[in-house]
Amino acid sequence: MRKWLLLVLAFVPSIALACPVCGNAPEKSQAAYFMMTVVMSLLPLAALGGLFYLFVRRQRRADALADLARLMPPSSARPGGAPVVETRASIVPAADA
Amino acid sequence: MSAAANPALTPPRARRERAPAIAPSGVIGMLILILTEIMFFAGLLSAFTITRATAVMGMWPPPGQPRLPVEDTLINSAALILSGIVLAFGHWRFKKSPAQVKGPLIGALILGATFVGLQGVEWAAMLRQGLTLQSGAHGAFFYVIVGTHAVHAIAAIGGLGYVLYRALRNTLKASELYTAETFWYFVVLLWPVIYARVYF
Repeated sequence: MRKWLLLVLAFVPSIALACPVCGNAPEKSQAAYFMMTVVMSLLPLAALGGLFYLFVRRQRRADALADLARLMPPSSARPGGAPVVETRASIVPAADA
Repeated sequence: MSAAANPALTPPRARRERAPAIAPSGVIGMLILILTEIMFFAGLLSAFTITRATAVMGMWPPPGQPRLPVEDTLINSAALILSGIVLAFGHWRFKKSPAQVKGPLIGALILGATFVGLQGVEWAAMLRQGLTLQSGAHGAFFYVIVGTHAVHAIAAIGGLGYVLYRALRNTLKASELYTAETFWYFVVLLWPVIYARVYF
């Protein structure tokens, strides 16, 4: 019974009003605290999510191009000997190799 | 048909070979650094936003504090944003021919240095008007936020300077350019956020 009561109370935190700064402050101040809490909570998620999406997209593009290059005829059969499709290795300049 | 005759049957990476990176290591490391710096500046701007919201009678700047030079800083901002555009142009030129990146690099460096220099001139003017680090929350937040960005801009100028040095010696690697570029774009794109929040 106590567990269920605690669970219900978790959804109504405004009852506590324990914070002397944001719980009993002018409306403008409360709004600022709330907005900044939302921003600081969501910003790292958005930044990390964006980074992961960027890496996953580049990896999938590299895999697709590598698969396509594997199915292409040998480069010696083409005039000039240059491959048509970028291979995975050529997507990132290998200047550091 | 054997696997040797039909390439389509060849298993991926049949030979022992290392999969190439999807991005240079320097760029990945720089992106991780930028993530931490974004959170750092977000914390500063968050504290500034809340302090400004709790200002007495909603007045900001507080009474007796000088107003920030919004119009003059617009010129600095234009120089910094232009430096980002010039560097992006240099990136495009580098892909065509590495030797063609020197001009845009010099241009981006000069514009970036112009931004930092003009910010210094503005700071001197603000100090003469009485806005100091100890004069109140207004001054403290202004110098800490804008000063931290200036430190990042100076570090980014240093990075671009090293890249220019390598380019002039024709030993510039693509990953070096991309790494310095990434940090420069961060500095450039962060400034409008700071300008909009702090100056207005």
